[in-house]
Amino acid sequence: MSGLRLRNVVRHYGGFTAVDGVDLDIAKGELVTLLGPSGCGKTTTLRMVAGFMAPDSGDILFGERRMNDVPPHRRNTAMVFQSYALFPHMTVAENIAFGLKMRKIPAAEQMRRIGEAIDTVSLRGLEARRPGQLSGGQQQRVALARAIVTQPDILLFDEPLSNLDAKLREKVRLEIRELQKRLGVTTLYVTHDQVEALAISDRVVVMNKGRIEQVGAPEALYRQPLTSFVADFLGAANIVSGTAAGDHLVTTPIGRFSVGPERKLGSGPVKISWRPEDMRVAAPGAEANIVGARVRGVVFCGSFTELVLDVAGQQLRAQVDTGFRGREGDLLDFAVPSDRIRVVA
Amino acid sequence: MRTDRLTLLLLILPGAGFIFLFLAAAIAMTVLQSVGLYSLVGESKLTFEHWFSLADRTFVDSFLFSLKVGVGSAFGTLVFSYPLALFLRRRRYGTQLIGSIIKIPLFVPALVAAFLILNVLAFHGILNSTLLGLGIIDRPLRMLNDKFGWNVLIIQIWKNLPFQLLILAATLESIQTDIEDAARNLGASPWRVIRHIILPLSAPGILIAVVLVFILTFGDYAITKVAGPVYPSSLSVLMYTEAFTLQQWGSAACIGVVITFASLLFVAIYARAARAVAEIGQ
Ligand SMILES: Nc1ncnc2c1ncn2[C@@H]1O[C@H](COP(=O)(O)OP(=O)(O)O)[C@@H](O)[C@H]1O
Ligand SMILES: [Mg+2]
Repeated sequence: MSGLRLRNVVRHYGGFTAVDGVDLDIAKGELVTLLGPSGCGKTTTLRMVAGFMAPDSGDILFGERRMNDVPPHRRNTAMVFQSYALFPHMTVAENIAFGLKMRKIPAAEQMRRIGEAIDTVSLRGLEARRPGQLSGGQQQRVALARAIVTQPDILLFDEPLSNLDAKLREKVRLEIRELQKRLGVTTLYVTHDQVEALAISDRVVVMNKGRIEQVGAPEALYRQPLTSFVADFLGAANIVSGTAAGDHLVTTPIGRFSVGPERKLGSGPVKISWRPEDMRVAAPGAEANIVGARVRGVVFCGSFTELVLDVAGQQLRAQVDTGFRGREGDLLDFAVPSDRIRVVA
Repeated sequence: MRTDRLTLLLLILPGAGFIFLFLAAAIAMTVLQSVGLYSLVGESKLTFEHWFSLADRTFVDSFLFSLKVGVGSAFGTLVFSYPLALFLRRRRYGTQLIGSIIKIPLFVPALVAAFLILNVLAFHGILNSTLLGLGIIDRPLRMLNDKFGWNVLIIQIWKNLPFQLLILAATLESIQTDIEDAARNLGASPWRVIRHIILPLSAPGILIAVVLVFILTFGDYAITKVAGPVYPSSLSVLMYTEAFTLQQWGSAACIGVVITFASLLFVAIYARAARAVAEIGQ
């Protein structure tokens, strides 16, 4: 087992740059997720790691070994495809056995490892079925078993949960994470679902237009986005343009905000961002970071209530507790704690 | 409801009627003629003499020759078409051009094809001239009307390659690239991907391609007539000779029945095999 390194990896399709200088270090046993909107180059990156395509420039290293010219069947990676890509003419057991057969593992050990894998993903009793006779969730498990049974150096997932319904998705997400931790296998996981990325990862890599926007642990990334793209893509964000007015002060068309202490601003145009859940109805008499807003919409969401607000033509969103008794059309003061405001690029 | 049915009937009538008249009725007529009924020449009476007259050397040799051409062309073409279809599958530079050139025989009638290839293979044809000119041989090779029927096979393969290619290309196209990638990812070399994944998944297409070319070549007339051996002839050529040269319409009808039912038999075998393969595929 080894770590994975991408060094300034670039890949074009015709004149279009799908992956544009990706640098990434993944430690042994770490689970790192590539997160980004559809078309940002996640699958292309993953396919280069698997060896299905070569980078136009840059290097891919497993541990210290440069893999650029190693064909996929000599890489010892295992991939779980979005489509599962099970072999339709083989039974569940034959599907799982395929990687072992290709590696010429002795028959007795094959049997043992297949049995183990089948138990791990709870597929007992379905060994003789063909993929066409399984539900989507079961097919997903076969794909997972087929991948882990080969004891890969690097495990790759390309949106493995996108074809499952919401409930099952959460369950399988947890199972994948537990399994990955138990096996300690270095894993690169691709998704466009931010909740999935935050829930499953040691670190998340946010990608946009073939480039890495930001890398970080889930909570750090959520709390301290560096760009408005990251702030907006991970959860929801209120993003307001303004001008720096002193080290911790930003003037915007909707008011003056004092911002968190950890960055000196200097002067010039800046953007600030905060989460809807960090915005609350202001206590009477409060003065700092107050926004007077017109309530445009009140949406009950179960565990919280979502408000659509209008401040001088700018739309903001706030999440308040379900005790909120305001109505559409009300004019209310909202407060944003300064330590929750991020200055973003 | 009633008018719906009537409309439906009117819609299928031309097609179904045409098939019935010219296929079912014609086959029935031929079968009846083979046992002496509805004779076009002479009197009509039930007899099996035409069938007995078939049990001679000429007919058996022709039957075996046609069988050889059918099976030989079907698998001979496959030897070329399958690797080619695999090659054309991954779009590389030039594959489109190759793909178009290869379809040309599709638009050349069999008789014309036979004459074209004749010019290449003839005693004083292009191939012999070239080989002579290069000093590889010092006397022209006799490649036409050879006893085995190599020419017929060569022309049939040339003619039927595009048919098989179209069928096989469509079959290979339907195999998801993800499945192939999964196999490579699990440690299969390119050769083993073909052996364990592509071949079994394209088996139904291979079967269709083989049976189709068999049926097309088993009943061939034109190519055997032009380039085939003097003896034996193919069943179709024999049928023509019986009917128009020897005026043996009854025997000709018997041969027609044999050709038709041999082809139908192969269609049936093919249909069963295809169903079996489809079941495996699920
Ligand atoms: N085979 C291809 N040919 C041309 N363009 C492609 C091909 N594959 C992907 N692309 C383009 O490259 C970009 C990145 O694709 P991809 O890596 O699949 O994105 P993601 O997985 O993040 O959705 C997309 O804009 C896509 O349209
Ligand atoms: Mg993708």
